[in-house]
Amino acid sequence: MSAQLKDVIIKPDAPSWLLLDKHADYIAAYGSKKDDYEYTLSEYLRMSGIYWGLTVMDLMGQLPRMSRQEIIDFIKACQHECGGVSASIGHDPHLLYTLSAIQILCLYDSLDAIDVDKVVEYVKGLQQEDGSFAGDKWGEIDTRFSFCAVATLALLGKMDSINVDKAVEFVLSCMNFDGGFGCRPGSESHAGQIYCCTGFLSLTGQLHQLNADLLGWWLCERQLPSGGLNGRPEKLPDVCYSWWVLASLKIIGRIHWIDKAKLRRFILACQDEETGGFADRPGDVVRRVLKSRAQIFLQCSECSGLSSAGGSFPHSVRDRRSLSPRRRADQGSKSGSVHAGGRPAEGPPAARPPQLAHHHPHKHRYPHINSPQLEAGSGSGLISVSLFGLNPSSAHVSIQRIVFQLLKFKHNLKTHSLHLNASLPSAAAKN
Amino acid sequence: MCDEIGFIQCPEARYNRSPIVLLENKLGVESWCVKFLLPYVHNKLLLYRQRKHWLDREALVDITCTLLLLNPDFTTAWNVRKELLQCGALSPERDLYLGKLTLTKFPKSPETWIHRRWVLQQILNRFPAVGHHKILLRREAEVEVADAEITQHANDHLAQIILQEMMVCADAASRYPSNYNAWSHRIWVLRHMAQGNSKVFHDELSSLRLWVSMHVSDHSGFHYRQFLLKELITDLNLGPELWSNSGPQKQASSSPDSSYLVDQLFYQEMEFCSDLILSFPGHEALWSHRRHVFYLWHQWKEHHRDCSSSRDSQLKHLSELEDQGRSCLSRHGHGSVLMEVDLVSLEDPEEEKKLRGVLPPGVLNLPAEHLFVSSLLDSCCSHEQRSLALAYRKWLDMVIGVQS
Repeated sequence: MSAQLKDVIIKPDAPSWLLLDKHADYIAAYGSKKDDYEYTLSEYLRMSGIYWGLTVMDLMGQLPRMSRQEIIDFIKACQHECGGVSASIGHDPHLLYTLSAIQILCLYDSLDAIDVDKVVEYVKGLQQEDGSFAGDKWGEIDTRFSFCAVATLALLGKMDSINVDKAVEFVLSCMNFDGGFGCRPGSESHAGQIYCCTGFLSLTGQLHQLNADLLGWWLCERQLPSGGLNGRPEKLPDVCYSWWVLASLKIIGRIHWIDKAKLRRFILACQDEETGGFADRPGDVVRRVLKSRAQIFLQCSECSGLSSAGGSFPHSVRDRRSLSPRRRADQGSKSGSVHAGGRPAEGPPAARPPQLAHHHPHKHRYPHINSPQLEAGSGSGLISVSLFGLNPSSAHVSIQRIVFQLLKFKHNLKTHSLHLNASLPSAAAKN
Repeated sequence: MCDEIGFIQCPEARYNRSPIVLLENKLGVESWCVKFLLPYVHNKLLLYRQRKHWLDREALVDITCTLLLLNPDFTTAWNVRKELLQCGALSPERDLYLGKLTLTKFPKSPETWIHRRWVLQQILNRFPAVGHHKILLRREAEVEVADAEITQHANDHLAQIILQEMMVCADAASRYPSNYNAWSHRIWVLRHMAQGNSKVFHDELSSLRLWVSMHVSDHSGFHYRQFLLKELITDLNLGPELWSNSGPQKQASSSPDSSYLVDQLFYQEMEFCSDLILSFPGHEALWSHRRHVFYLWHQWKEHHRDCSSSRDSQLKHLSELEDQGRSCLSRHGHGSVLMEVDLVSLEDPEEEKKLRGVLPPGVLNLPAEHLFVSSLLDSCCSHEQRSLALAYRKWLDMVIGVQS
């Protein structure tokens, strides 16, 4: 008996355009009922939740609706003596929330609100002898934390505080035979970990160490007939995995290997027309916790082709932090979508046999670390990785992705003077 | 002592009685009370953490326990317990038990698994002879033990812990499909607590055959088997830490016997994989497993070719096996596959298997893999299975074909 492919079916009446106002209202109202049980449940990642919400609002040009000073004061209260920042007041510090805090402060151009030297010390102190990073003083090692560390330091312009060579060595030791990455050496390849590692390699100027064709193939095999992406073979598609996979493909220059139109359709179908917010997949209940709308925007903008090359962080922030993100040029076959049927099982078209891509031989040594030069998908490099602390099915996690695309989307919204309520198809037509 | 926790759906407090229910070792909490209970204990703990409110050790143990049974991803609560453990107010075993309970309801909880590894590391640190123990396992002939009794006790304790962890992981894996956190924890345990103990790896490999056969979509389960294979090969032949992601690193010091054992391991796994692919068509996880195993095999063979060209006996052995395979195939036509009708007359199930394209034992090479794919494609197979077979063929060409 043949197996039924694990996938979802998108109903004909599923939402087909982006409900921006609904999402904005949802986020603006989130947390107004602070005694809410679910709000308490998710407090352990509050800093990341705030970051996600803010980036989405910023993308939609509605950042002023959020309470800037209150948030900055909150972050101040969350920095501990060791320099690390906690998810909320009274919680213990951790690298995940330290990154989120720095990202928020960058967004608000208020890095002076906390002691950034102490932050650098905290991050530096978490690096181990083998180059890996612990998440906090208790010592759990995970490639997510390598990403958090370099992302934090990149934003602060202090990458030279750590042993970057060793850090790279450790991350590369987590590369698997399929081109993917796991949480530790020898761990199973996982879309989320892959995202963190490609983001890491992008930030440290080591993208040439990846086998882009091989990894790209693994990533594009995540796309299912519904258009959604999963995180590993035989998992259901999930809007959060879609982000990780898409962002990784973007970084390695293989984004044209998936069917964007189908993915866009999938994402839009995940929206809840009544309450705002997104479910993990069409048909699921929208969780009442802050969701990763960002990813949606991100993917939507990417899919609709609005995004311009480069630009992965708000221009204003990029200029302020002296970041000059560069993109890895799209390689490999450019013959449009790989899968007319949405099933990439046969692999990418006309791909050359996998080999180490030596596109940037001069980058063998990572560039001047004092003025961070970020490679492709730097937005992803600046995105919080907190999602890993969360059950991916409670989608609030995935917001990190948002940042990346949000910025692009925002850029394009401004450029094309699109009304916020414009549906994507017309936006695409204007482009 | 309870072995499982859960919420009892009960939106309102109907009766004036405790919402906690204990029935046959299952602990239940009526759902109506949770929304009051959680914020109350949550805020109490945070007040303590901010030094605004003192709580004694017992209270901390109770409060964190309650919190974690309801919200096991509340990192700070686990950290409070770490501190209690450090000062002796809690035993590591108690936290392992708490973790085991929370995993029955929250089998993926990342923070639970993270805390669990920390606790296990504390236990490991208390084994002064652990390092010595690892050496002992490898050099069984040498008697270097200063105090045999302590080491034996440590060995037993370690074995017990490993066994318990395997059970906790297996339980969590059964409660949630492709449970990444459970399986990666399982790998961590063996890596940190069973290095060089090939018996454990062998036992795991055989005991999991049934489980993965019943969970053919579980990609993590199959990845675990790949990990076990890799460790066994390393252990049997090359010694520790000689296998990096680009393959075996150092000179093989293997004997023809251990090389044969490695061959057998691969043949068995590939045959197992083939059986599953044929019995459960259209499962990507099975084909992914095939890629992994063949890749490991291919690397192993390449390494052997480089390092042991003088090992005539090995080569002879291998070529004998390949000849067997070839003659088996040629008996029924070069590479052609019989139709079902031709098989009717055959009485030997082993023969039948061979003719259906399942590898005859001892044949594991690129041509045989291509034959496996083509015989599948030639027979009636589902669209999904076709897709996967084609993708495998492409992978063989692109990844293996280029390297050989």
